[in-house]
Amino acid sequence: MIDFGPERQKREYEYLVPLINVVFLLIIFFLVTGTMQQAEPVKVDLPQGAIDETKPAEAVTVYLGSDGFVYFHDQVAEARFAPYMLRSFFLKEGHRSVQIRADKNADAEVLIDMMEHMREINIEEIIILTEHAK
Amino acid sequence: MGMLDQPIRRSRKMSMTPMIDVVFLLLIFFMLINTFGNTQVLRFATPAGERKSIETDFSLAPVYIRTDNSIQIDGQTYPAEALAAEMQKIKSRAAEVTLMIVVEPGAKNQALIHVIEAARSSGLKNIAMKKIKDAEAILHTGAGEAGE
Repeated sequence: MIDFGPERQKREYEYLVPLINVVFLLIIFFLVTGTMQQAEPVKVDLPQGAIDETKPAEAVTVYLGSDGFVYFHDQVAEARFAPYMLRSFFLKEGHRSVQIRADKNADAEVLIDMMEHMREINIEEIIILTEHAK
Repeated sequence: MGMLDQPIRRSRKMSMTPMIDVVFLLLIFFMLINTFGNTQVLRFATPAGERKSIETDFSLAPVYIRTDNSIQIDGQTYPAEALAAEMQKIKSRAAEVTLMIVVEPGAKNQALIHVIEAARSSGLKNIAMKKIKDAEAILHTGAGEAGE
């Protein structure tokens, strides 16, 4: 029999150290990879797409739900009244860029109407969000 | 009396359990709150007022998105995958081509995105989007309006 000598004395809590290391790594991973996002006022199922252009620095988000209603901050309006809802905000704040999170099952006519009205309130850039096709 | 006089005895090593609890809570918090970036953007510049010069070699190509979400070019239906190739052909028709996406009532956003992406990937720069009732007026008079 080989004699390995007396068993090494284990320090208390030693077995927890690798676990804490891993958990910290996971926290750092989620901190770095994730992006925080505002809670959505409506569940929007984005259309799938393949093209991804450079993301704008800042844009105000408007939601178009599958029900055809437009959600903006805490306001909701039927699509045809949406321009009135958006007009005062955009003219006052002077935003030039808007991103639209439109549901893939919402009517395309409503989206086109919205874009048309955005143009009327001096919006220079419209961004449509899509989801990477699986 | 004697018990109160004695100092409270603490173990020399602090317990790690509360720290691990907090760390796990943080982990769960970040896991739940994060959204992973799988959103993509399509950017459109809204058209600027009047144009000074108009290309003489100009063509307006309508693409229809029907109520059943089928996509038609020159009366022929195309699947989403075949659109880009067809749009390449449209692009070569004239020096300046404006694609006019005409949407029927009931057509959904997904179909519209397919058409826009096909146009983008084939290099068509000018895109106009119209509802069918607005588009018919333009197409019948022959006066196009660029949309990008």
